[in-house]
Amino acid sequence: MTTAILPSAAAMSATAPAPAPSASDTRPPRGVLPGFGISLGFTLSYLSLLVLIPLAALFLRVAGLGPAGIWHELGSPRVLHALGLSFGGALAAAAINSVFGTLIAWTFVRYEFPLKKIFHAMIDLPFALPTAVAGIALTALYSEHGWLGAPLAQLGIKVAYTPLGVIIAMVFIGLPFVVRTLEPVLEEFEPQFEEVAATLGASRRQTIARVIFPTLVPALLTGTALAFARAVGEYGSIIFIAGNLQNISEIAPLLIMIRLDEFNYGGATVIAAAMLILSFAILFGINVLQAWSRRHG
Amino acid sequence: MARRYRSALSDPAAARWLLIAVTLGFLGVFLLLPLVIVFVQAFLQGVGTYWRAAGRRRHARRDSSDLADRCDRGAAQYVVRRRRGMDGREVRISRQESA
Repeated sequence: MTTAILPSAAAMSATAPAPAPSASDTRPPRGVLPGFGISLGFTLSYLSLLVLIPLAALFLRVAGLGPAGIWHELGSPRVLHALGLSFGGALAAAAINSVFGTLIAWTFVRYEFPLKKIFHAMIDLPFALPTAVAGIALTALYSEHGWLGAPLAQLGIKVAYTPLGVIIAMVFIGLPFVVRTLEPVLEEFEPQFEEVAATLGASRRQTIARVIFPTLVPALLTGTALAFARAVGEYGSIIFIAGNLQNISEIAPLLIMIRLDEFNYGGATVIAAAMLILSFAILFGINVLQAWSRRHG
Repeated sequence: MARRYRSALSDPAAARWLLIAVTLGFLGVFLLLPLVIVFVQAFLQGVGTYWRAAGRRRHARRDSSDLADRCDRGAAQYVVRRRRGMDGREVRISRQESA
């Protein structure tokens, strides 16, 4: 039932296949759109200048260290812990954001309530606020004498200078990604589909779970992936609230900075390369999941 | 008895208000409070301090480390240490300030 009435998201993602060349045609097969060569050339050179060449230089530097050097850096408990905290924290924050971001996007699109416009405009604040300011504000809020930190400390929950604080900062900076990617999809969702579901006897819960939610999944995965990627690489807003205790709340990007401070460029590049590979693997996995959800949504 | 029909497109009032409450609560804790605390901290020592800090870079820098100091001494020391270590010019300014 659901596949038949999937609206825009699935339809938009399907790209038109190039027409098959006819057997009598002696020229090489060409797509209907002109300018393939120049646009591919432009794309590749642009991508090379901005992304591929810097990354290649990074990996070249790492390769220069040799397996022993790489293992010496990566095998240290401090590095492993920092990588674990960055990726584990980012995954946790992305998961929290995916749940609350969906609820928030739904509320903003579907319901009316007082001060909605002001709250709606506030969503983008984590983008606009300098990350250091965000970090100081969160630290002031969650430190043991802070407005939220004091009551939480009485409950025995310590937030500032613990991994929990790192996750809080990651949630803060990742939220807009999920909300802003979901909103347009929810706005474009045609009410007819819900009405059809209702006339076919679906309860409201069934309509939401089997008609509305599947159309949201690709956008939700995109938003979650963006929130995750931002959280993994985030530095400014985390280092204040994290307190940066070795093997407790030290994140990998900070460890890279520390290695650079020590003029240990090799060590810094090894951690950076490990982060890149891990991020790429996770983002690739999310992309595969997204493609799968589009086919089976 | 006429039965009241509910639109197929709307959610029960209870669910609606619950979602609105969750939204406002989450945004309040994660976005509004950090924003409010920035302003509270900025004006904590009065408008005069704020204007002096906003007008002069040296004071602005010192006040920002004061702010971190109020959050926690350890974190502030870490930040100051880090800053001094990284930039030679900063060390000079810091010494002038302490002199």
